[in-house]
Amino acid sequence: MIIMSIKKKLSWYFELLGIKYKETPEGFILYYRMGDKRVSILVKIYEEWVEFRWIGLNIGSIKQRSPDLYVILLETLLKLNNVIREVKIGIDEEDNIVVLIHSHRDALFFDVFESEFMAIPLTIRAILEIEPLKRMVSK
Amino acid sequence: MEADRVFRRIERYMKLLGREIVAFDKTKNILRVRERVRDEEVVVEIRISSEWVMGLLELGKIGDYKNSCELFRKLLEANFDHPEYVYSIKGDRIYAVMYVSVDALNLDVFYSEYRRLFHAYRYFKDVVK
Repeated sequence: MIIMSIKKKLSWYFELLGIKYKETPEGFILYYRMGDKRVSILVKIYEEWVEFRWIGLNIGSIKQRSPDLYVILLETLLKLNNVIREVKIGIDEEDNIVVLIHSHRDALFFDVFESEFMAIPLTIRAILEIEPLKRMVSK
Repeated sequence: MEADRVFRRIERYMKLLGREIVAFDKTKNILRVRERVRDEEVVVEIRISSEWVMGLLELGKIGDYKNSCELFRKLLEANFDHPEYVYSIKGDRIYAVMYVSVDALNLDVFYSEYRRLFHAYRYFKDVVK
């Protein structure tokens, strides 16, 4: 069996799934089409993990405008973490919603990658269905 | 893979790892395992399906926190900052969660993910709480 480097293996997987990508020093940027939108997903390769990261909407303005709504939003995002399996949802220090996958390098095979990766657009769609995020996007 | 085969595999992993299974429900494919974290006794619930192995470790009740906004924020920030932790809530309960796809299931991957629950537990008690 030929052992591929992790970067070569990932770029092969992206090509198999028709995902456009660009190499970066740390990994890749993926350009994934979701309907009429194109989302960018950052891929970083670590010693133990491969991280896939989508940085989404900033909810700082909701916090300023309506603190109660902000709490409900945070609660909903945490609830989603209990429903959606492959990915996790967090927020960064700037109040951006972030969708993440941390795949074990040892367990990264095509079928696992495909199933985990495809959960990112599903999660993005689920997040964008949450009011008032839906209204923010449609503005 | 059928869920009962996955169940038997997890049961075997737990025995190999010397863990104490305190309860199991083969009809619902749920195992409960007793663990000690620091001086506390905790129970991990492992839910098994044909596609997933999910581990849940309860961390507390939301109602016990005066400032739920701060709690939710800390949990979501930890999800972002720490690759090894996944925090979620269901009803009034806070959980550390782990998932392993059955396609990726082997002892090494399972144990690595399983241990994350206890790291998440300690982080929650030390930092989030």
